[in-house]
Amino acid sequence: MSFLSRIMVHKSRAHYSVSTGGVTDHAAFEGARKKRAGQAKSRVGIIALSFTAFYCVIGGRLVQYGMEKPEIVSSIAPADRLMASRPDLLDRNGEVLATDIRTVSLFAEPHRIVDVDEAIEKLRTVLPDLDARGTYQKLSSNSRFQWLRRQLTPKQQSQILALGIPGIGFRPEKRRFYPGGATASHIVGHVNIDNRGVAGMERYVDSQGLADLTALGMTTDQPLEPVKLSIDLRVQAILREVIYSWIAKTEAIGAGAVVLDVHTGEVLGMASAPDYDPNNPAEGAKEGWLNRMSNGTFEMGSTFKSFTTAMALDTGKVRITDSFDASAPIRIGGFTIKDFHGKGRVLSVPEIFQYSSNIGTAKMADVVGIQGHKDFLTKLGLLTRMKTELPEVAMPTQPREWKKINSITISFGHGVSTTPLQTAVAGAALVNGGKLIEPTFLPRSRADADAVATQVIQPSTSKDMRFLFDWNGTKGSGRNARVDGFDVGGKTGTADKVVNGRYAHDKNFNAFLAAFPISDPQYVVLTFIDEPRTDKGNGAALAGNTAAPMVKEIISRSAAILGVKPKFGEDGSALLVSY
Amino acid sequence: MLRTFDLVLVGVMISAAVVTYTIKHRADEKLAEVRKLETEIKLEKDTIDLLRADWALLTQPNRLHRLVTVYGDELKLVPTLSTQLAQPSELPMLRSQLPQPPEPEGMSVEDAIASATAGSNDTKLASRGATTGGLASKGIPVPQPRASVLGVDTTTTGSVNR
Repeated sequence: MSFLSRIMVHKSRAHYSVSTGGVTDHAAFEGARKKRAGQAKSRVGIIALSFTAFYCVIGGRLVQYGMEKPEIVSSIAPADRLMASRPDLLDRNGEVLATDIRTVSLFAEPHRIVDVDEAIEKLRTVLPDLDARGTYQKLSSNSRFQWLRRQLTPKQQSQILALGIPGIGFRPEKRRFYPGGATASHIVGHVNIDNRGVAGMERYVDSQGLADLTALGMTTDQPLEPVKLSIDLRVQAILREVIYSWIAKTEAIGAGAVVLDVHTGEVLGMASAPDYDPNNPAEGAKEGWLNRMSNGTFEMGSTFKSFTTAMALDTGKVRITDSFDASAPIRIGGFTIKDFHGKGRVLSVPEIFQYSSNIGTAKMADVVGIQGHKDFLTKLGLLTRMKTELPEVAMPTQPREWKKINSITISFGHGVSTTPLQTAVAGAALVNGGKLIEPTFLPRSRADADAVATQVIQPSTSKDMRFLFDWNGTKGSGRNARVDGFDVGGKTGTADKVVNGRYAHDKNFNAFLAAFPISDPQYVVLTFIDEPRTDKGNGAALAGNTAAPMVKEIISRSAAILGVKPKFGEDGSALLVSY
Repeated sequence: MLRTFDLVLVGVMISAAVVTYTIKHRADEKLAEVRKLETEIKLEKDTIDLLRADWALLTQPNRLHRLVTVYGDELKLVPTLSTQLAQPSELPMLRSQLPQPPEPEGMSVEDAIASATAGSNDTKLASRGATTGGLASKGIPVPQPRASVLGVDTTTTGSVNR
């Protein structure tokens, strides 16, 4: 500033001297002129210099900014709630189970519509089911924005664009789409209108932090890494088809099936009927939302005898060669425990298992004692809430106080209600060498599974149980589940359902707990069917005729997909060519 | 001197302005191009998503099963039975490696059959049969498994890696 002001001062003085000098003295005028020329020159020089300096500074700064590395900063744009993406859900082979598709929604700005009637008429050529009266009211209102139709297909969008109606527009939206429809509905779950997961793995994904991100407005329309599930879509489709065909065949009210990897605890497929279409969840809201596999508890019936037998063998108090007298019914506290397939004689342990003897099993439980029985079932996770990714998991029920009668009935599967999935998980522990592994719906390696596994029974007991399952599969009630080449071993369970506090003999809950190939089990399959009826209409359908053939169908169709190789011959030799 | 310098400066200024403008204009053009490409990429990505969903819909196992049922008359597809699955190691030998029964020299066909059914009683024929390796005592060829297959379990189903 001082520099400029000095120039100003000089300038004013010069002006003064020129005006005064010019009038008074000629010589002074000459001198003044010369002086002025010199001054002008120097002024121009100064100005040129200052401009040069000014532009040098600007140029220098430009070069400096040009050389500088760009600072990496990011900003998060206000999230568009309608465009927030969810991760795709894939099956173990990368098949799509749930994905986001971009749709557009049609809106109108009524104040810009020229001819309402014409607009509606044109729109109805593309959207024939458009409500003319309602749309007319919307378009002739004074509002500035009206939704006309949500979630159009791209084809409809281009058709509407081609109509060239003024005053209407499109807003992009993301919509969750389940290509499989109801195939894996209970595993995948569904989302609500705000794209939030409300059931199944969709809800699990939200609970893993996605919901918090959304709440903070930090989700963008950028695609997220897909989430791979452990299920195999092909196996899942087979399960669902089999249970639906059996529901139709037996007029049952419900059914379910699960295939579980015994070494990793991965669920390869789990179906429960009735189910619903997650693309349109409101439609199935009546019955379909209940996942009977993990969220319904049932008295599992005779399948529980597997656990009782394993317990008796594991304590060492009973050996597989022992025998129990099953000739006379047990009478206790006004109840009489009888055998359905009563033999009326002394039965060995494999025979008790084969004939599904209630008396024999109750006596085996008696050897262990009430507390030991309760502890064992708790150890197998049958009395506590199962831990898995699915949010829909029911709490098993058990008697508040275990008395002798409870222990006796629970030994053959009455008095404790548990979920079928839990039973399958505990069943896997019986055959895989005694390791209880939490079920998972996400891929898990064997090493990871071993890290979370707990040893619940001795490997020798597990070996005995494999023998018993095999025995029952070849000689007992599991014969109907036998598939050539895949040795299926298992235990049936036919439980009377409780109706109005009493056991109803014409309403059964049938289950079959199976493992295959039983010599070295890879998979556990559990099926159940709720209130099946035989074609005779007498209502006494046994598990051996319902749940066991379901297992057979499932295994014969899915074993090859699951990578299990058939073995033929007594010694497991593979020669099947005969001359 | 100043005038020429001025002219030079004016020239430099104008050319600088022209150059700056061209650079800016080109940058704008590039930016517009980038935006256009980005829109195209986005459209393509959305289309890919849509097509993937469509593919998943069309290859749904339950849909394929339905189609198989509908076109059952033409396709004649039936489920694979477990007895129809075999490992490479389980295949019999090649036809060319099939052991040939000994030439019954100087014998009629009836004699050969008679000697074969007579079995081990006929020591002469039995000894001849023993020399030919892969023949049982009754002269019936016994299938030998094909030469050992490397990496026996070569069947993969894609579902579970074992």
